[in-house]
Amino acid sequence: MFYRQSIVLFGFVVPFAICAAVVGGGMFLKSKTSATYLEKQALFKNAENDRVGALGIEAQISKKRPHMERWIAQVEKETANSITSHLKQIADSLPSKEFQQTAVEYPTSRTGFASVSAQDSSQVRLAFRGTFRSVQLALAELESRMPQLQLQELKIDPSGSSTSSLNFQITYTAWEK
Amino acid sequence: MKPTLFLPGLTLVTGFLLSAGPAFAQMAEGLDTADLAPAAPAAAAAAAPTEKKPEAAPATGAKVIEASRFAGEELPAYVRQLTARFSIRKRVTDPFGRFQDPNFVIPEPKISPKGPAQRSYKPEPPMPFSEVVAGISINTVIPGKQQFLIGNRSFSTNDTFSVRLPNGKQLGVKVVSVNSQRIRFRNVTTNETADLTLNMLPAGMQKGVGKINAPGFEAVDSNAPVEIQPTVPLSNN
Repeated sequence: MFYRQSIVLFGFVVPFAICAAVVGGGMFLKSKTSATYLEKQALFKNAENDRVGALGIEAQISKKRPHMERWIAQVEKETANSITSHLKQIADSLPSKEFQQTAVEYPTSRTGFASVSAQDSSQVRLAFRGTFRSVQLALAELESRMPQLQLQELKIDPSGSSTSSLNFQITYTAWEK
Repeated sequence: MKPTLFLPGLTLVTGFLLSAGPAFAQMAEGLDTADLAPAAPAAAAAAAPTEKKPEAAPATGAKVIEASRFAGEELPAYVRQLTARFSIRKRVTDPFGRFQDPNFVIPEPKISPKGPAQRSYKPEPPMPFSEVVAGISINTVIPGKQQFLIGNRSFSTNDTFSVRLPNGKQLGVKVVSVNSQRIRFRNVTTNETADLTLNMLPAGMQKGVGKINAPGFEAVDSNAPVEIQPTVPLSNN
């Protein structure tokens, strides 16, 4: 019966209080550490995803980067002048009997994909008379020189006056800046 | 004194162990890096193909011509490479049948004096009158009246009728004579005659030529030959 109060105080209450303080402190440290860990893990994952995405984008644009200035210069040029000069150079390299330009028009109205696109564009309608071989070569070279041309319409009719030539009517959409 | 010291000691040890539990648990969780550990290799694996793509492209793209916008300064070579694939370079005519030589002139067709159709034409040989007569199908013959029936039409001697051949031609036929054995016709145009042999018996039967003898009886005439029966016994069926 002696020292009852002291035994209760120092044998149970104080140790329990100390233990509770230690447990509480440990749980607080654990939860804080876990939260920090999860946060850092999420940040690491996001950074990895961003890095991989950046690598993918870089792989795509690294091929295009050297050409950007030339492409911008091409689409900034006036379409009519470019087509005229390119066609003149192409016609000089082909036999005149097999390739003749008969007409060129620049319709003001937009048709096809250009009519529903916000991108600036212009239309050009070309007409040729010539053999299939020469006109195919000429169009391949023209479209290689001007990648911004998109074929809109192509009509081929037989020429009545010759056994070898055809009449071509081609409409291009030229994308512009 | 011992029990009083033992109790606080036990309590302290218990409290220490309880408080150390989260620390051990934290250490156990600290070892659990399953989420993080595979993340880095997975990211590296995802990045690896992306980095390898540009290296693999030239190997597989040896024969693939890329878009002309990448040709750049090498545009003439690009156009040569592109146009070398056109099949029209090796063809005489285009897909519409037009000749690729602008100086080509179509040779004038040679008309031979005698066309092949005329040379190969042979007139159809006329149908022999005997075949025409054989094609007449007789239903009934009335020898006493010199008449016979074709279908429901009756003809008699000296009647003339026309026959339409399979090729559409018509032929005049005259009835010359009628008897029980044959009917003779004459072609009105050529005076050719042909007989239509009558065989009214069903197939496999023929007219008897001898006398009809009952089995077991012989002719009374002493000079008549003795009739014999076939040695092979008849079937019981």
